[in-house]
Amino acid sequence: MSKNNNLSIVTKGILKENPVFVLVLGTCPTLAVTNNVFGAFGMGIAAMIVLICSNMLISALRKVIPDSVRIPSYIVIIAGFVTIVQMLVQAFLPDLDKLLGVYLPLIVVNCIILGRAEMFAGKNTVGKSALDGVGMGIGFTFALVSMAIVREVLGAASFAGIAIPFLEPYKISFLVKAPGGLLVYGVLIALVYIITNGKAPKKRSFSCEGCPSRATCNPSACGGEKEEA
Amino acid sequence: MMKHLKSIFTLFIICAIVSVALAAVNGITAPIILERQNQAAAGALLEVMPDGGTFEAVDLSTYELPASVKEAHKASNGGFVIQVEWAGFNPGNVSMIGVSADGKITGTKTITVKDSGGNGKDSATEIPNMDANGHYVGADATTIDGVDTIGGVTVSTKAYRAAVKDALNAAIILGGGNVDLRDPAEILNANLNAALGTEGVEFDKHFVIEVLEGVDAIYVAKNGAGYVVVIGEEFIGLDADGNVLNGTNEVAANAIATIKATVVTDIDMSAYDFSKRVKSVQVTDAGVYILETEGSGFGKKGDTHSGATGEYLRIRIAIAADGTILDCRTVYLNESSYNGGKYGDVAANEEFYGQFAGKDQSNYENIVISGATFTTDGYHGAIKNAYKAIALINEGGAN
Repeated sequence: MSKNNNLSIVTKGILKENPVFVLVLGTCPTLAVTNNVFGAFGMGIAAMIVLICSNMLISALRKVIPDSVRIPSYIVIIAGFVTIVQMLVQAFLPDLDKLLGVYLPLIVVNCIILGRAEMFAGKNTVGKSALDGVGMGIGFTFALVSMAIVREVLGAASFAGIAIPFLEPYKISFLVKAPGGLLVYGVLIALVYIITNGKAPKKRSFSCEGCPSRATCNPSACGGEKEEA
Repeated sequence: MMKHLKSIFTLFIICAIVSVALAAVNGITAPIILERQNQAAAGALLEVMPDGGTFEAVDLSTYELPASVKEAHKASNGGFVIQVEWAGFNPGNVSMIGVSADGKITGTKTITVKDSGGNGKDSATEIPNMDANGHYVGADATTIDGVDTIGGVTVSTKAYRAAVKDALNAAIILGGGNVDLRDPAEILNANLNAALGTEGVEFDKHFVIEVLEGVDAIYVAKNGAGYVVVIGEEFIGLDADGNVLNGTNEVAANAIATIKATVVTDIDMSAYDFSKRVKSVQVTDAGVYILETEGSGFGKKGDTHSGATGEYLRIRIAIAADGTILDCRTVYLNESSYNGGKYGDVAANEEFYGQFAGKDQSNYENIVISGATFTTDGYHGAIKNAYKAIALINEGGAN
């Protein structure tokens, strides 16, 4: 594992393969918790912890888990870590638990976690998987926090719950509502596309390998090849 | 086969390891979460009983409590915090009531308000304001009925007062005391039967057309068995001839004798230029006028309000020679469509029209039913018509 290689595993998740802005995964919590910076940061960190832990364990067990029970095993492992994180947050960070509500346990079904387990952790070493978890986690947190900053500052005239009085008369309340979240989401996706200047992976760059639906879907839609039955 | 067994075994082992890990973390976090939840719950309880100390949930299954009582916590200082669910205009209003060991309200907090708008006021604002202002603080079972309701949201605040009373009664019961939870009408009927030595007899409240000193109410047995005179908290039974059944009571005996002796004479309606809203006039030998008059509430003819029935409300009223109202009853009222039917029903209730007794021409308009302005106006109009008719008679305004 060269240093450059390791670094690229981490950095690609931040912008080039950002799970939210480029891979468009985890949209549900992204829209739900980004009306508050504190909540967005908390969700990002919680998801990152689950991502790192599940990636490492799944990678460690990749040669032990039979292919036929791969997905159920991943789900059990992810659900276990999510429940552990939820219990810890409930015990030690009750305010964050109240803020995230149902979206904290819903990390179980966050596409990013299962997606990275399938696409990366199931095929790479524990170390690389941990770095991938760190990179994707930072990328997810970065995406949530940047969206939350835009929505909370411009929509609620506050930052992490602290009021910004001079913005109060100019706040656009629409931005903290669900349609405002979608608008900001779309704008930031476009912005990342412009910033990466085409370096972000295009549709055809994704492989069908690892996709649970690869045997049944239309391969031409994502540039892959249909698996032989 | 081996392949399947391996899959099953692997998944089982993963589930088992995850379960053990979850159990371990739960062992650490569960007590902390529980303590935090208890602190939060105790915080809410302390809001209505600041001196409560610690609280312990009470098992209500062994007690017979008012139906509105849903939960109770006993405080270490001997008081109780009672959670009541009550219905005003809507069901599902939830309040927490703190009751001290000596039976006084220490605080109230309404957690859920399902009632909303009233006549220019909003229950969702007024009821939390009542809590914040300590509206019921210090009240006990003997004074709770006298605590004011809020005009404009009368139905809601009256229902809330009843719920607070339920909480007070519940606290007394949970503290080992006795409270008669029967319906007030049922209790009254039982007292009347006990006074008369009967069982299951129904009674009519006597329409007062006599000036009776020292008597609060008189009830007449529907089966003709006799009378019950209420003086303060005492129920005195008298037979059909007016003889006191147990011992002697001059006031009660005189009251019944007066009733029996009173002579009522019809006044010739055609002899006077009465308003069309005056339907009948009688006078007693003691100069008390008994009139049936009408007023315009929602039922005013041609009224376009929702609930208009095209009929006037009608009352029967007895007015003494000095102008004091002796009694007032609703003869006809059909104004129940507006706002869920509550106003019409409330207006028809004895609790409302009974308040006119003792008033006179100068102050009868002080009796109002908040939120039922049109109906109240109808009552006032009918009473006004009665006074006008008496004035016409006294002025000798014959045709």
